[in-house]
Amino acid sequence: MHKARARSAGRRLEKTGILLAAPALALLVLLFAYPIFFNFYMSFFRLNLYVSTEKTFIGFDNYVSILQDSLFYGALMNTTFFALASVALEFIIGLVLALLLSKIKGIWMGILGAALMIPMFLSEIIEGVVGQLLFSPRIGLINAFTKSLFGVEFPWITSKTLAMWTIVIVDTWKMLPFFILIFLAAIVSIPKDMEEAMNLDGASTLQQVRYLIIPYMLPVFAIATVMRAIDAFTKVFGVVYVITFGGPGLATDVVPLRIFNLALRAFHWGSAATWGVFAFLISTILVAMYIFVKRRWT
Amino acid sequence: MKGLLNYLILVILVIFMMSPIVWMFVLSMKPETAILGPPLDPFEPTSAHYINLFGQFGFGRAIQNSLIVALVVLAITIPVASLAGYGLSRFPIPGVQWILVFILFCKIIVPAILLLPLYEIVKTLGLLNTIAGIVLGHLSWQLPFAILIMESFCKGMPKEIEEAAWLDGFSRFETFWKIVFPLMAPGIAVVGLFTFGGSWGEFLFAVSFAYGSSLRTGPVQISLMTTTYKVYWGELAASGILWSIPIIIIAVLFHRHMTRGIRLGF
Repeated sequence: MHKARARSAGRRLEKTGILLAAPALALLVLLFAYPIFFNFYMSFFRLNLYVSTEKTFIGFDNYVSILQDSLFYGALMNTTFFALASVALEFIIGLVLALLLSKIKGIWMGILGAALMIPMFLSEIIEGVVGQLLFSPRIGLINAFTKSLFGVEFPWITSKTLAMWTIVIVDTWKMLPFFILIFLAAIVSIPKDMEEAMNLDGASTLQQVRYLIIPYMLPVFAIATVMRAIDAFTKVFGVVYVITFGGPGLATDVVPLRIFNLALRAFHWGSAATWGVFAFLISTILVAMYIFVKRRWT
Repeated sequence: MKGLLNYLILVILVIFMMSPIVWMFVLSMKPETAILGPPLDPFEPTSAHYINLFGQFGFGRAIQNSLIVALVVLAITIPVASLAGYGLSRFPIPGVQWILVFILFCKIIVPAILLLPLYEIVKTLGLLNTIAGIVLGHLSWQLPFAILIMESFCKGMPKEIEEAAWLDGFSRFETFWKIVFPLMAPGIAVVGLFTFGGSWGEFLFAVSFAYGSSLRTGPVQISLMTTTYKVYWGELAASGILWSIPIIIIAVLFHRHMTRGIRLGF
């Protein structure tokens, strides 16, 4: 009797929970589950809206031609390079700065917090505009400086080897604050008594960093880095669009930009959908990676 | 001595973070000829670029479009994400960890793969050339993040108050509106800030669904100022400043809440 009532109360709770989450889940199914299915379906057709609205079933032909296309590997390499290089720079500089800034307090902390939040919260388009204003061959401020100080100019945006680095530098300006803020929060949460004990034992600052701070922060390192790298890989678009639009040549062609161009500039829908399927598979691997790291470190 | 080094680094970092924006502001006041000349020469400040923005480049319209989109996205995201965050964190839903994995997947996915399907959905609903496409795109970006933040925020709220209210004979929904919702207010504020800021600056979906129409949002309008033939440097800088002002105000006023949101986000 008692048990039966408890069970029905449990079911009622379960129903309330599902009811509360239902609008969100319905929206997510519309926004994600259906689109993923749509990409799979379309990937088996040839459809170029410039030519006609007729679609022809071609089996795996789209897959075969993408796997043989150097554009595909180029975009994958560029996107991976962008994600790894910018996150590595942001991580290292962010860690050093967080360690150096950990004693800041009060109003100064407020000034720092605001100054860090501004670039991080700006639009990716503003990030691109800043990149143009600083690095453009016509009016770029950086070249004006290097020219007057050292007498050299760099082809920041126009050189195939430098263009991606330029985007990485601009992104480091914008996203470095993420690591500084996360690391600062982690350092502040280190138990004070452990720090005092090490001080009493006469440990140097470097020893404290090596034996207390770094081990304590490992989970934060792992989770924050993986999350930022995934974000950098999957979301890079606006900054490239404004600074180089994938060029010069294909030097900064990244996966989101390639899919955008195929879908909405070239109207190669079958091909764009197949790229979408590959991007979906990559996303799945990234999710698995994130869950693995999170389980391992928390 | 050690303290001094701390503050010296702080000052350098703040200058480093702010100088690109300050330089953008300087350029936005420079006459076109001075922009193309040596960068540090003195110049007569002008407001011509800002005036051009609203005349020639239709920025008033862009601001209006961006505000409408951001407000619609906020009006959907906040209630939907708060209810879901509460439901998923507090109730014994079977397989809830799989639902959370699905939401995480939605947050991590490459958003560009949604372009074609969302275009089809909008076309089927007869909503092409309305803000619907942009709003759906923004929701796909904001909603998973907002739900995950609300879920981890709700997990950290004290359970006892709700249970007391429940025992006092409040229904589950009464408990939600009268007790839980006020407790969630700080979390909702954080989600609101991120959602507004994100929508205000979003580019991928905005450029995909409103490139050639009167629905262009600010970021799309800004991207059109660097054409292959001519770059409107002064207007580009001025529009960058204009678009940054709300973000700068929000960051200065609320950076503490936002830092908290970033930590809740993973």
